[in-house]
Amino acid sequence: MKRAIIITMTCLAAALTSCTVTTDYLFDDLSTHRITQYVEACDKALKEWPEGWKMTYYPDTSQYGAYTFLLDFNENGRVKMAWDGDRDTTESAYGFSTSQGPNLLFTTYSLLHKLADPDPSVFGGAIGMGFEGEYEFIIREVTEDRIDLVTRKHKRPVSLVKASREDWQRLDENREIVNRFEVNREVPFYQYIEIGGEKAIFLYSQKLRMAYLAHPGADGQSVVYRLPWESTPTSIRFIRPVTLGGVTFSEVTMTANKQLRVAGVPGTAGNFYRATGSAERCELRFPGAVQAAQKHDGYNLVERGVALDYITPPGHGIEYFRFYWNLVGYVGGEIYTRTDLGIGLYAGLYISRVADDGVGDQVVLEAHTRSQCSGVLTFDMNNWFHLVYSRGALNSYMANEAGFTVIPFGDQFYMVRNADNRQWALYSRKNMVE
Amino acid sequence: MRHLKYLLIVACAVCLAACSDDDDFQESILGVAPEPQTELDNWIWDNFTEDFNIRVVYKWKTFEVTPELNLVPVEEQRVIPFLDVIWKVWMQPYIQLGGEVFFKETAPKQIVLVGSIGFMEAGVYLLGEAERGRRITILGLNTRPLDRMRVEQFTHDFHHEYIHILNQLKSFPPAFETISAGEYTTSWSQYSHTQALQMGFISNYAMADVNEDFAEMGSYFVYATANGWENRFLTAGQPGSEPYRKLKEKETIMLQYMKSMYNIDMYALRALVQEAMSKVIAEL
Repeated sequence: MKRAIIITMTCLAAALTSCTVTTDYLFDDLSTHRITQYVEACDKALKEWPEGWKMTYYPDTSQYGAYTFLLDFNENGRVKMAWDGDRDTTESAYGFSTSQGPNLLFTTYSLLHKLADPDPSVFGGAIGMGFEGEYEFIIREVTEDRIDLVTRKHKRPVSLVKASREDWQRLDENREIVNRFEVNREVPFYQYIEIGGEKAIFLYSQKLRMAYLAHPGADGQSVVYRLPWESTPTSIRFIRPVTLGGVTFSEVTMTANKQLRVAGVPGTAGNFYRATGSAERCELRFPGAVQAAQKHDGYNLVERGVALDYITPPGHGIEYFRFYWNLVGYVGGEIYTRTDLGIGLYAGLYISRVADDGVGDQVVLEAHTRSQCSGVLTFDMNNWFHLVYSRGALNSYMANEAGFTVIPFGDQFYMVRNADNRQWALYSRKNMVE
Repeated sequence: MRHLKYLLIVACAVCLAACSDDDDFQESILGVAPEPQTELDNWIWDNFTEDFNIRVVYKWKTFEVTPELNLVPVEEQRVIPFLDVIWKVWMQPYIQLGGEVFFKETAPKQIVLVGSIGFMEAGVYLLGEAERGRRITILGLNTRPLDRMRVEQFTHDFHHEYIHILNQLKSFPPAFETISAGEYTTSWSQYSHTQALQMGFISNYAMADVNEDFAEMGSYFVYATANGWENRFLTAGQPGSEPYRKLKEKETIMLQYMKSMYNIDMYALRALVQEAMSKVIAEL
């Protein structure tokens, strides 16, 4: 028995010593080491380049163009930031985490967070959504001149490239270009463009940093381009080029006296002009436009011309107005308030029917004989905000015999009053938290 | 047997030798270098962490907050003014009445600060959360300047969340649950405060569930003035009416719970909180 135990123990010892680790790893190093190396390489690169880094950030190219940020990282976990949105600058904290990969985080509020801010009163984004911006990035690749990132939530690509002194010096010029694209009474967003004998509608939004080009196609359907743009010191540059009348271009600029020009194509400025009255209304026809815009019933108002500022309640932003193609059987508008405690007041204004012009690109909203506002007061704290005023204003806006041209772009559509194209509104499919 | 012992020792030695490795365990492989401390970090350490073991998380941490909501971090300049208000309207009154030992035992170990409010369904906003008796999250610090309304709101919100913490440490009596049983609703935001009072709830949010009902009773009690508190009861109905009776029963249980479980006299607490709020507002 004793011998058997001795043999058994000897064999066991031999077997255990044979458990030498000989595993071949797929990677050369532990995952934690590799993640940490990414982080360290990123941090080193960010801090070492004295002119800082430039981020041209497209939060979501299906809805918004880009904002240009310049970032100066320093040794103490602090980052100074400037952008082409306005002249504000911030200094805030940044850091890294290694949970679920190497992450670069902007950990206290900065300019970058304005695009993510769910409060529309901050920068005008959608309630609960902002501009869908993010401030947590997964580090993908660190090279000498460039750091490639993707956003943590939506996995959208973003890059930091080495900035130059000129980038900082000329940021004011970027801002000036962006400012020129501000829509006001003198400069309607809605113009025609003619190049190479071909004509299109050109629209732009400074707020969304989007441009739109639309022209009737050969098959009778409208051809539309949604063109997210970024600023340069001399122009706005589309994310991809567009071709019209045989001319391919990707930049448009606006002169100091508010004239639009195609930029970057020698000898081709394009002819931008606008209709000035109802007699010139709608030079281009877009069959099926109304039907396309009716694809979804509820739309949030995301931008509107200065002449339509009365469609939102006094002291309230555009986030308090929605448009419905079919609101309990009617076309209408809906106004509501939000307070610290929840939805306060609804007001609905109903228009009886859409009067199509027979071609399909224009629409007249006729007032219902029982056109009315309704309200529900649900909280003590709410104010009853001039409902009578809103009712009158909405009636004159919506039930307009001159009609509106409807231009759909996927989940968005424009309505432009034919008699006065300063009166326009851009609606986006309802995406707010219900 | 002696041979067996030697063999075992040899076998163990061989096995242990087989486990030798050339890995260098000197350097940590976990995470990255700690972030540099700022003046703000030092202020928080001096005023909240060192004495009360409360960690204030003001820098964004991915998994510290509800991932379903789109939120943004706090503006740094908002942190100290907010914590100062909390120190005066929440910590000091409770410490004065309950003592430091009580406070250290019951205070949340972590306060998480978020810049934006949380936009939820049906127009409801998330303003605060209390979890596992250990953490309070306060949202919306970036909203508006620190004015009278903000001070009042922070006072209410923080006391509300702290009462959740106290409830999570020691449950309130089951009798409280029976008073409005069957009347709690997820559609609470459809009701006005007045409607809620007339159904026997101190606020519309109190209708959400029994835990919110209790926390609202406690937080409104200290946040409202004595007159304001009585007016709420009279809005609910005349003495003897059903809603008035329900509110009185809830008030009684809440006051007894705070006294018996934590030796906190809520009337005295209200006086201290009211005085602190007045001072803070006067100094704005």
